[in-house]
Amino acid sequence: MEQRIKSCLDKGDPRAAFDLLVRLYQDKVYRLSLAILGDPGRAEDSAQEAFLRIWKGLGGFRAQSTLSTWIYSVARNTALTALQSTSLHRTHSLEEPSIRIAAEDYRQECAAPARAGFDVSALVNQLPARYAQVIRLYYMEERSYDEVARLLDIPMGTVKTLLHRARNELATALARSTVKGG
Amino acid sequence: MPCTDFENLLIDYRELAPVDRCRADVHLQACAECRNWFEALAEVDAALTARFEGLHAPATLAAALQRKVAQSGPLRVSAVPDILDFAGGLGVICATTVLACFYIPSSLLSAPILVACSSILLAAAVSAAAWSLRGNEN
Ligand SMILES: [Zn+2]
Repeated sequence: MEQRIKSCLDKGDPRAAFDLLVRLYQDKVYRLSLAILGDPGRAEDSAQEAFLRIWKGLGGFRAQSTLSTWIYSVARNTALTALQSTSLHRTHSLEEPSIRIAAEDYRQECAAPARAGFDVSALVNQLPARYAQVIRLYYMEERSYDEVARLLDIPMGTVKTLLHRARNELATALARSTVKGG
Repeated sequence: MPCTDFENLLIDYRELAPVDRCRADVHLQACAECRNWFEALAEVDAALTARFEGLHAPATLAAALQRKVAQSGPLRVSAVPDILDFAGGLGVICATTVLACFYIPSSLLSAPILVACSSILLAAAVSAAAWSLRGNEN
């Protein structure tokens, strides 16, 4: 498929190349955006923004890197910029409404919570950003350390360490809430 | 919290070798604290799988992109590789220098003028290089 995209570009047909590219990468780009931002609505906006940047840069794309590496780096940078703007905004907000709204969104979308009152997405949202990003992506990418490392552009050892700590924190939080709740 | 000695074993339970799994099982039978924590970990794993596994982009994404790209008009495709842009830029600068040497009267070629001209040429070369090597950053 990547070869077909490149051959469309070589033939001077960027629109056809872009259509193929969206079909091939939309899930990955959306998942990466969601892993970084933690909110489905914002992830969709960020993915859209990333693809528009890709569209604008497509005419100048040279095979300096593989197409997928370039696409993931645009998607990652777009989402991280969006995340940064939230963090800056958040320093002014004492109530942190964005977390609550995101948790609310998830609660509505969550297919089957494991137990009543247990909202895993809300728990994940409370983790430090790096932990949350890795753990979301790990489950979205069918538990592949390799894929998480590639998409987030971090070493596999770091993925394992972050994931280990994230799962530990989540289990501890849930175990505590169970003890407290009786 | 699980016992410190067993925390790593329990987190990596799925990937454990049979000997280590056996050790973890024996401890879990004896330790209520670890058992409670391990059950919570299993619930977290199940909930994360249910929430995130097999997630696809919403159909609205591709539709919105089609619309926006159609509105944005045709894309300019550069047929000249970046390296040729760079070589071309350098060529223009060299040609300008050679012509300048021929046409500027030798009486005017004093040291300050030479220094000023070479600074301008150097600045132009650096900007040309930066421009042509900007790659695919957008
Ligand atoms: Zn124990």
